[in-house]
This record gives sequence, C-alpha cells and structure tokens, in this order.
Amino acid sequence: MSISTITLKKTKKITLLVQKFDVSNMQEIKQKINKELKSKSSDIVIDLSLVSFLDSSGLSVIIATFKQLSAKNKKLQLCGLREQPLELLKITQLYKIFTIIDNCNSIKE
Amino acid sequence: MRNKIVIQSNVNKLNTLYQWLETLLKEAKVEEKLSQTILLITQEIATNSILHGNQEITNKSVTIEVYIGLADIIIDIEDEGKGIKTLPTKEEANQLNYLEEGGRGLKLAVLMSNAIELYGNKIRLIFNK
Repeated sequence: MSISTITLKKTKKITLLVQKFDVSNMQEIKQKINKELKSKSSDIVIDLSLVSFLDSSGLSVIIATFKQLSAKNKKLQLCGLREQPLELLKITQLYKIFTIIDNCNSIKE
Repeated sequence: MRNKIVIQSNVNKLNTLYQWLETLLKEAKVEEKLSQTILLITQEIATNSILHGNQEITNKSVTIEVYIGLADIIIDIEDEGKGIKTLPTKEEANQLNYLEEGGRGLKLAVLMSNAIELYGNKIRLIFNK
C-alpha cells in the first residue's frame, strides 16, 4: 500500500505511505493518484509528512497532478514537507506555484 | 577514501545505491544538508544512466565511484551507453520550466553541485565540503 485516502468535506487528502517517493515507485503512485482524480472531483491535499526523499520523478507526479486539477479549476495543496522535499521545491521554484501547508492537521474536516 | 559500487540497470536497484552512499556519507560525518544534496543528485544521474544510457538493459551496469577528501567529495557515475555530448550550462539550467514533467535531473545536477564534468558516458560530480 503506497497511499491512503480520506475524503473530507470539500477536499480529498492523499497520504503517501512511503519514505522515498522516487523513480522506483512513481508509476505505482501515479496510477493510484490518477484513480483518485477520476472519482468525484474535489480539491486535493497531498500529505508528504512520511516522505524524507523526493526526486525529480516523484516531483513529476506532483506536477502532473497539479496540472490535471488546474484544468478542472481545482486546487492542489501539499502538507507536511520535510527538509529535502522542501529544498527540492525551492530549487525548482515550484514552492511559488504550489500551496504549501506546514501542518497537515490544520486541514479541516 | 575511495569506494565503488556497481548496480544493475534496474531502477529498483537505486535503493541499494542510496543506502550504500548514505552510509558512506554518515561514516565520513558529512553535514546533513550536503548529504541530502549528494544523495539526490547521485540518484538523478544514476537514474539517467539506467533509463537513457543503458536503456534498462539489465545485463548492463552502472558504476559509481565515490572519493571523500578533506575539501571535496567527488562522485563518478559511468554507464555502458553511448554517452551524451554536452551538459546544460548554469544559465540553461536556471531556465527551468517550472511545470515541465521531465528532463529535470541533469539541470538539477548542474544547479546543485559545485562542478560537473562530462567524459562521454561518465559524469563527474564535485561537491565542496
């Protein structure tokens, strides 16, 4: 199991249950996220609090998710970013584009 | 201190590389943030070697050599492919298209290492301690 999903009032929260989100598991996670995107349309929060390593392949899945949601006028938020994933978002300047929430628990039901 | 690992051209083998390199860096007491950068960039280049250099042909391998010196850490990553002709310049790497889904690994290596050198099918990464 690489992701778990909770449906809140207006948002769907997808928690990545992996320490590394990289080229080795990106296809599996991409397929699972795409399945969630195909079901009822809602804003998405991706909880990355368990992810200590993110590479450009994992990042490409987040970008693809952002693009799909934007096309439907829906939002993507990221929460629980640890040091290395946050640094990668800074160097790629994606932190300017994505909405980042420090504390995943602040997302209201 | 010089160390070497050879991995099969399969992305599932990257975790072996990651754990090996993480242990080396820890033993050498390399600062945490620098270690994270080295682990990321080494994986990005090794991924390119597996996917594009060796085209995931599993009997081809990728060789990674690590030299940890007093001032620098040098990492050589060599595959059995045809090699690439040029590396992006810093200026080109800085012009990252934010929402491009691929082609980011080499640009990140240019941006996040202190120096990068190309020798056909071998890339040398240099990080200052």
